[in-house]
Amino acid sequence: MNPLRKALVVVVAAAVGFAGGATGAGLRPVPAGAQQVRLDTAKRLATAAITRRVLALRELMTAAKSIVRLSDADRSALTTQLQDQVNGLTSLNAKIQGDNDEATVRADAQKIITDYRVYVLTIPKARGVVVADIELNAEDRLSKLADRLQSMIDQASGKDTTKAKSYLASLRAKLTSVTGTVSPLPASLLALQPSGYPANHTTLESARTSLRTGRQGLADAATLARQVIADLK
Amino acid sequence: MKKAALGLALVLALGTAACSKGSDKAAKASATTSSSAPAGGTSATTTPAATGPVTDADVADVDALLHRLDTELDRLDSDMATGEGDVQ
Repeated sequence: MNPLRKALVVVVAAAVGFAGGATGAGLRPVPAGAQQVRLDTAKRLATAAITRRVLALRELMTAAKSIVRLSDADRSALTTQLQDQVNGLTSLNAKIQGDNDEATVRADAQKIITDYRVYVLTIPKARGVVVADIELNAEDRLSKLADRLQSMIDQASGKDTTKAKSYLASLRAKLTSVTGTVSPLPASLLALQPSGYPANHTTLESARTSLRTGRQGLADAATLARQVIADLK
Repeated sequence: MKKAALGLALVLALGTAACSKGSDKAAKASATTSSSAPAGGTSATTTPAATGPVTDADVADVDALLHRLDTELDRLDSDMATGEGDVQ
């Protein structure tokens, strides 16, 4: 067989093979081998996306276990929500790995985002709950210090404690404000669900602002505690 | 297909092991760290010197907690700047 004829045979044979893998959707048929490659690639990408999210969720679960100030119900709710997402994503990955065509894989992969909102909602909300716990814990400690500062003032006989009393009153006012600002946050954050996104993103933003306000209040309270101590020396 | 599933299972297993290891460390830290440790995980009831005159060291204990708070707030900012990214 001359080279030209040989090449023609190869081309025809390839065309016949490709026809078997045609999708029907495009103008040019896609070879079955190429389809499989694309299917496998889509599955690998979905698995990678799920794995990243699961690892991030597990990190937050560890942080959630360090919660000490919030109620058991809040801590349990946070842990459960995180675990539910890990379970759901793991099941979704199993479903994706069993999908037989690229369109189904793509549709299922989209659920990684739409059904979970891990990065834009779950992680920030969990972090917000953890931060709220730290702030309320700090508030507790400063409140106990305030009680002891009050005792110091009471026992400072023969000394002008006017300034110390004023600082302490300001300190207590700061703590009251922190409590009022931060205490409602865990419940409002835990109520946020992926189905409510993006409308509920404003709640996240608002919570972040409140947490920053709370942190400033705590820093001010710590400064006032130092001023009371200095004034009583 | 099986390779991808196997890969995920392996990563999850490693993640679980890492978390478990981290939890163990945290638990040990709680058990051995002095009560002035800055960790938010330290119970408020274990705050040092619950009676007596307040010193700067007592306030420094709170400062340490606020430092951890700053770290978490920065992470919250970072979290909220992150999008979902591509999955396909």
